[in-house]
Amino acid sequence: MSFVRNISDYFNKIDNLCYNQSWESGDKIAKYLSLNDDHSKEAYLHISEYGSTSRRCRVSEDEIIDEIVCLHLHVLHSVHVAKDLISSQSTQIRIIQLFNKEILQKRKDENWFLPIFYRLCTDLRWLSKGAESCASGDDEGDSNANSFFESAAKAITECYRTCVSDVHAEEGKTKKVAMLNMTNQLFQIYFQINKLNLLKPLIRAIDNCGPLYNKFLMADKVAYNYFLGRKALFDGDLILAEKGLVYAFRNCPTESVSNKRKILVYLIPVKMFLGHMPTASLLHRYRLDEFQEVVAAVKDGHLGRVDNALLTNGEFFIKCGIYLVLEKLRTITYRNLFKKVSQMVGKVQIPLDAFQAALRFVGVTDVDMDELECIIANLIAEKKVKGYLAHQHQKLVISKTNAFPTLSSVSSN
Amino acid sequence: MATCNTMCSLSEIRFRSKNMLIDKLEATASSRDGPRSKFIADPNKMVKEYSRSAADTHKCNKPELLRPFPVLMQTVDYLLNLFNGHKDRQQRVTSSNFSSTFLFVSDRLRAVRQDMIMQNLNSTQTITLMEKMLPFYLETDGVCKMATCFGYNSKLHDFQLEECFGRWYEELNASSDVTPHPLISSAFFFRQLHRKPTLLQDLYTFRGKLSEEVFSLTKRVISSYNSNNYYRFFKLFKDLDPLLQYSLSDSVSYIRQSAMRIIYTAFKTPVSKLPSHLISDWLGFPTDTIFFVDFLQLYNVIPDNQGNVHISAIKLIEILENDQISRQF
Repeated sequence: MSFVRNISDYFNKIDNLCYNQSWESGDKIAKYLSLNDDHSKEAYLHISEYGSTSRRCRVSEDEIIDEIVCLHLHVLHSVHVAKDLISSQSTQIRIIQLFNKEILQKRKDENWFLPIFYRLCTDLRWLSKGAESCASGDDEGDSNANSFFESAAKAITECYRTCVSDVHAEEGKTKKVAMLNMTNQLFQIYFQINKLNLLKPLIRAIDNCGPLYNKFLMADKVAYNYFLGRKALFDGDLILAEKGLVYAFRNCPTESVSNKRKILVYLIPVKMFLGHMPTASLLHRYRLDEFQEVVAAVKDGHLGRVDNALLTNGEFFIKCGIYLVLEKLRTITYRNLFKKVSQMVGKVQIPLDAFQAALRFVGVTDVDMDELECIIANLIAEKKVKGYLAHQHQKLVISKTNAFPTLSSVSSN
Repeated sequence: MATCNTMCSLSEIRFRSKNMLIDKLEATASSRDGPRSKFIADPNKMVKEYSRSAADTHKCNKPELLRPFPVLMQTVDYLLNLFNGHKDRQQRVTSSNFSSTFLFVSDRLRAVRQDMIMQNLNSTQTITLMEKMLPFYLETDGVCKMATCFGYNSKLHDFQLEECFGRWYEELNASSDVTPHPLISSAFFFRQLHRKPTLLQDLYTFRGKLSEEVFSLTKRVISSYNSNNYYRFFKLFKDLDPLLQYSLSDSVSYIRQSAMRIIYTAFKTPVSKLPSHLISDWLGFPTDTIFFVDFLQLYNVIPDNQGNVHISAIKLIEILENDQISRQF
């Protein structure tokens, strides 16, 4: 970002960039309208109601951009001076609505301004999160804290509708290319307010977008696949989860270590469910040592250690939203333990006593014979064990061949 | 400012008396055995009825029609006493007496919520009122799903339960100093168990508001359900408070269906059989096997003379959502 000397300089720079009307200039203007950029900290830009007190049309090239810039200065004032995230969130929504009404809806055969729009949406999410924290910490405030995220989602969805209906634009200038970025924005909001079901039509639209998919930015594709993978993991669709997360991991630039780490947080449990355990060095390289003990315990079939590891690192797993997923690894741990028992017994008919003794050995003392049958019955029903239970003889009869199929083959069934 | 200091305002008593809109439960002892048109209002029994207010909110919003918090509390107590007066409720769900009391209480509680919203009561008062009336909705939801109750409409009832829980949860999140009722807290999670796979994550987020004991019990029930561990689920279920058992009504039906599929797959050989009392016990049916035998019939199975169930004879089916047999406990 080039240095901004004063407010006139700030407006001149935006004015000059508007003249070019190219994707690159859109990218640069986006930085001047970002809450994260260096300019946002400059006190001379923290002006409330700029448009009403000064002469307008400082951005003479583009009156609407001029109005948006004025509103942006108002947001900067609300954030840095008034410290009022609730009002800044509502002003940011006004910006998005204005952008939709005056730019997205009215300017045909143009899309150079989309980078600006992406930035505005990202900042709206950030402000909604801040406003939500303010409201939930204030007993007198709006008790429905999610309403900030919901109002943000509503504004973005309205823009989404405008963009997807832009079907007659010249090739390369359609606003439909904004679909994926907006889907990602909505993905992030709906993850926050736990309304992932609302994403179904958006995902379907991406699935059916045809050649347009190739026009999306790689950064958006990586983000989309990451979110899609996360959603699939919670829906229990391991194959889709693996596909999305592996794509995201492979295409995420090597230098983006923090993003790669975020992807791995979800990819590791998926791979574990499919029977692929991460190496200690990989976990260490990406500062994911919290997984080390869980991985070792699942491999060993040691339920007691799995429980302890989940307890010890519970806070981290809950924060990442994967505690629930990791709890399900208990099933695989049972499977690994019972596989070891069957190898030790070396017969196809294995007394249930042997499994119970093994469970006691790994610290599980509260499982009686009836519950043991229930656990094994579940493994058989999930096809993780091939065989049947002979209740009268209190035995598990396993298949002579491949009694414990690989987990990846089971999940793909 | 609410100024109505009785359960029903004078103007409403007059209006309903004039228009013959007195409920049997509001009529004087001498008139209530006659036809409705002859009911005479007993002012001590009259309770403000629910009326849609969308078109004329200003009419309902008059201070003299709104009951302040202490009167609302007294009204809820009165209504719950009426309902709790029905002994052996679970057995008498099908009676018209139960049905009319249920409809009356349900409608009047709705009016209590309407007054509560109109005067914008604070978080603590809202939570107190919700925690008082929620047990009624939870219990009736459970019992009316196990036997046919004439006045019960599952959609409307579900809507009201969601509304109560929604307000309760919202106000709890907005206030840091209120400790929620342990049974209501667990019931809140149990109600969603069958339809929200990420419930455990929500429970952890809510953990700060729960005692360790409540958190641990709720977590164990959720974990056993999520892992299809029907044996542990029903072992825990048997020791739960009846209110929590009612809140798990839908989940009971779903886990029994999953269990039948699992048992069929894991125990199936051409000759395998399991004692029916054993499966009944695994699936948490009452010791009296009548309900379990009915349940087995849904799967086209009748136990043999020795009381064994032939696993290969089970015909797996999808049980209807409003089925009563699969919910019995």
